[in-house]
Amino acid sequence: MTTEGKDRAIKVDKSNMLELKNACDEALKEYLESTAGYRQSHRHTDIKLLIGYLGCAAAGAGSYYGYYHPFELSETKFWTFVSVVIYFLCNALMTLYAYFIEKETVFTGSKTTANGTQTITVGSSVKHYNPYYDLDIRMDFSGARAGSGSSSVTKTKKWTHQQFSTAFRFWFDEDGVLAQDQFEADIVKFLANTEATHLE
Amino acid sequence: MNLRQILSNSLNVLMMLFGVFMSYKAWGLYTNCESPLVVVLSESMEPAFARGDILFLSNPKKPIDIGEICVFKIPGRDIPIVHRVIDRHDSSKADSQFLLTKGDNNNVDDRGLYQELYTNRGKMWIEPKDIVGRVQGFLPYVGMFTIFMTDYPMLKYALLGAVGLLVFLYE
Repeated sequence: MTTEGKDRAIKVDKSNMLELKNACDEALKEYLESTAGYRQSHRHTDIKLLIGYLGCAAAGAGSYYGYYHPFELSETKFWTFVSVVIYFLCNALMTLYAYFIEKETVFTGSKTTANGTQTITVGSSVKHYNPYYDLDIRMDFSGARAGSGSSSVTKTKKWTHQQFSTAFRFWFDEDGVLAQDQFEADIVKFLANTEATHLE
Repeated sequence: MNLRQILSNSLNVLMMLFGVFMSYKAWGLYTNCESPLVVVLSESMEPAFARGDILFLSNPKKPIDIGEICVFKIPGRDIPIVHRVIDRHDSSKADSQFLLTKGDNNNVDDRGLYQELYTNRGKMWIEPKDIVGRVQGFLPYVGMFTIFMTDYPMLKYALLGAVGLLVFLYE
């Protein structure tokens, strides 16, 4: 269980990979939203919530109907069947969405810079028995403003994609406390690195 | 905790609950039986079934045969009874049978039970429409959990509350 709070240090069980990853994810989201100035896009969560509550509504309606109508009637069986199918369909859709579309994304957001809008999609993963935090940063650029009267032509790509792998031991101390400044410094480095590859 | 997080955590709990409930309903649809899972409450079917055994029920289309163990409800009474069919008469009308049941561990057949209510005076048989399901299999002992929950309702609420809280907080 992580104890979180802006002023309190994040402390996890350092032998639990999931907790290590989650602590890093939370710190990353915190940094991206506040210091880096990205506005988080909640599209993935919202879509899953929508599908999920739709399924629950269908299940609830079916249960309500089944409670007030005798089971033996073919209509009751039909509507119960419909609600069961809708529920499990929504359940499957949520799982498929998370697996194929959301994948390992922990943060997607955008911010407006001098050159237009920059969208960032950050995914994180850990491999079994490998105490490394694998970051996958993708930046999309749009609406680049042409400099007026600039003679040099800088070729900029539409998007760029970088991966970084860091050992947890660089960020967590003996007691499992996350060193915020160390972590943020590294994140700044990764973001700058990714942005730099955009300008090649 | 903002609204989105509350909605997310609540959704997880709801999906879990509905997942169980919808699976139960799906099983009921598959077996054509409203309540495909029941717990034995009395000793009237010993030594076959003991108090606390879970029974798996279904309602196949074929007519009921002598020797089949059925769960039935006497019209006007809520409690389902698990007994064996010992006699049957098939009516010339389609889909109609007259059945007589008796618990293995009882000395008399169920006619006394059928006629317990004033409205059922003279009822000598039950019919397939009174049958909730026929026993296809059983799991011993596991049902004692349900019996505890019914005998001590506080346990039920305590357990539900604890589980709900745990799930909500640890998501």
